[in-house]
Amino acid sequence: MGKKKRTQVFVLKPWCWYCEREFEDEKVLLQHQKSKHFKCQLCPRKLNTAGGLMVHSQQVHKSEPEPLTNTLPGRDGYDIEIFGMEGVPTNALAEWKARKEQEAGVAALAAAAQGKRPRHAYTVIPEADLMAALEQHKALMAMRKNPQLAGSGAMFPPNGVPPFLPPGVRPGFPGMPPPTLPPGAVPPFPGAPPPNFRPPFPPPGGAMPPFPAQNGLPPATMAARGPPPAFVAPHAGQAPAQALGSSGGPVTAEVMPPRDGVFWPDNDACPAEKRALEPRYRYTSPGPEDTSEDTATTGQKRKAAADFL
Amino acid sequence: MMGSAFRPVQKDIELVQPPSDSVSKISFSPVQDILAVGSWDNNVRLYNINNTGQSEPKAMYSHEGPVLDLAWTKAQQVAAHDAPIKCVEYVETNGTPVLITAGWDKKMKYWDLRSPQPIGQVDLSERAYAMDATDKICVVGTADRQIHIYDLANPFTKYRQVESPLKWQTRVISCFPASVGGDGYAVGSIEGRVGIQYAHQADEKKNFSFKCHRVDIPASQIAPPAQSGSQNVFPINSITFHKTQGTFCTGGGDGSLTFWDGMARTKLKAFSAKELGNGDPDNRPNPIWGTPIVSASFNHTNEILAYAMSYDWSKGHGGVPPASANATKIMLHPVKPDEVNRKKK
Repeated sequence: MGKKKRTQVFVLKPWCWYCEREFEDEKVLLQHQKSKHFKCQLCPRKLNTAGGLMVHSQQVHKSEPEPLTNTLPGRDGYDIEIFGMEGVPTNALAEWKARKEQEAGVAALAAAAQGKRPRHAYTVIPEADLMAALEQHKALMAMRKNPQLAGSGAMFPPNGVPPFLPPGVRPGFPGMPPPTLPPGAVPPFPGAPPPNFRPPFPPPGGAMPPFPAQNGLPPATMAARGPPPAFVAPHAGQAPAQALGSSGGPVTAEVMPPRDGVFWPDNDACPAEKRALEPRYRYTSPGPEDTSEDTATTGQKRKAAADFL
Repeated sequence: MMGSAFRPVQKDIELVQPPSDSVSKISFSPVQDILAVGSWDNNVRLYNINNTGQSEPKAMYSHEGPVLDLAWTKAQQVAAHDAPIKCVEYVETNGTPVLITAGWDKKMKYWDLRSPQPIGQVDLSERAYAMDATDKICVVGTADRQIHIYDLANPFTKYRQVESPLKWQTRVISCFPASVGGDGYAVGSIEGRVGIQYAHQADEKKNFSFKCHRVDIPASQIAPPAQSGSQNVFPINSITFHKTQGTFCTGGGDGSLTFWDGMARTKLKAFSAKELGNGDPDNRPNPIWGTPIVSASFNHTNEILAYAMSYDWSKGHGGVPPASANATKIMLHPVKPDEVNRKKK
């Protein structure tokens, strides 16, 4: 009796020695071996066994056969003749059987354990509890979306448009300082660097900081541009997100869930734009004292800053 | 022939010391085997690659914000926009070197490499998302799915503006190299589709588009919005042309690479994410999505294809891989002739 039960739980399926894959059927296994392991790499021909493939390579292509394809490491040799389950080395077979038996045993144990799990209560949850949970969740989400509001107590209208925009100003021009500042926030240094802003390039002519060792420069140097990222409003992307066309709602770098299988269903903003809203990619502007390299730039910088105020 | 026959071992080779944050763009120098890598960690790194595929970090320099694009030139130049610059191209037209930049401030600017002021600028209809240029044309894709084509012989007036053939946001644009003949470009969208477009109206009949970088949803997992035959659809992140054959390679958000022959409209070779050792979308019941391929570049002899795997934000901040996963990698793929050679007619 016990023996019969054991066979019901544990049936050894045919498997492929080359890649240790299991198959429902010996026929499928043979097909698999032909197409995965005994396929000639020089022509479309598929052979039945490793030996067959070797003879084929030598006679048809006059070349030493390449090692077998798609195999586990060390099993790509031609010395063992395997056809389906025939010819599999006995020690490998025994090992496999032991492993499968052990897995089956573990699975059986797990299944038994599952049977003993306490049952859930399927009673109706009282409405009051549900409402309380909903309120809690709402509060949590609000905190998460607008952390600065949670601190200052200031409230924007629910659609998130700043209340006193002068008419004619496009809401959310990138780099626009936020209309209200929460107490304790950084003073609004405008995000967009002014037109003539120069990021500190290494001095031309080969003094690049080496990494890891100074090796001299390639003859072609490069004008790669990091964007002077404009999205620096101290608010969590208040203005920029508006510019991205995310209509209303408290603004964060929210991402739409996949729709119809499309992983990025948001036609109005590209992933990089959303990414640039993340705090860690935001450009932290150097203080005014750091930027006084030459008068022309500073002058323009001041002017640009004044534009925003 | 160049003396540097790229003879690596069978497998693709990983670049040493990759950037710590996602890669935005990689590009080989047009004259040497030097690979430039721009990254979201604000740095640009240069790697020297020898003919056995060994790589060696050469130099690194920092910007104050994430690097979104880069291009090889022969001099250094500073250009500025009011919003992040999304695209940079360097062209030489009639012997004059010109740097073209386009940004999220809805402007495209032309720069002389010697002066800090732009030569000129043109307004785009929306934020620039993708751009590529040859010595003849410059093609910019914007956020409203328009494609603006500029003839560089007359760069300040728009040559043509067409709506993208693809119904979804433009992700990448890549112009045909001179070897293809005809001014054309390939445009890839966030919705697993690539369109081959010709710049001139006369060639419009040759335009076509095709689907790629999609993974079927197995019948057992179809949940209500999905029907049988539904697919997971990934953005096309990069299109790279082989400079002499004119075939191209697409890299997608599913972490796979595919080589195509646009003229013969055939697929030449596909490297699934699994073959690249990058996840396993066919795993059942839970597919393991690979790290997206964000950028790819052929070297100047077209013997190496470098491709960068890193997170492209297409699944939002929820999809950021844990730091321990070391998802950012740059791989060097030895290009075999049958992967890139055009199909005989």
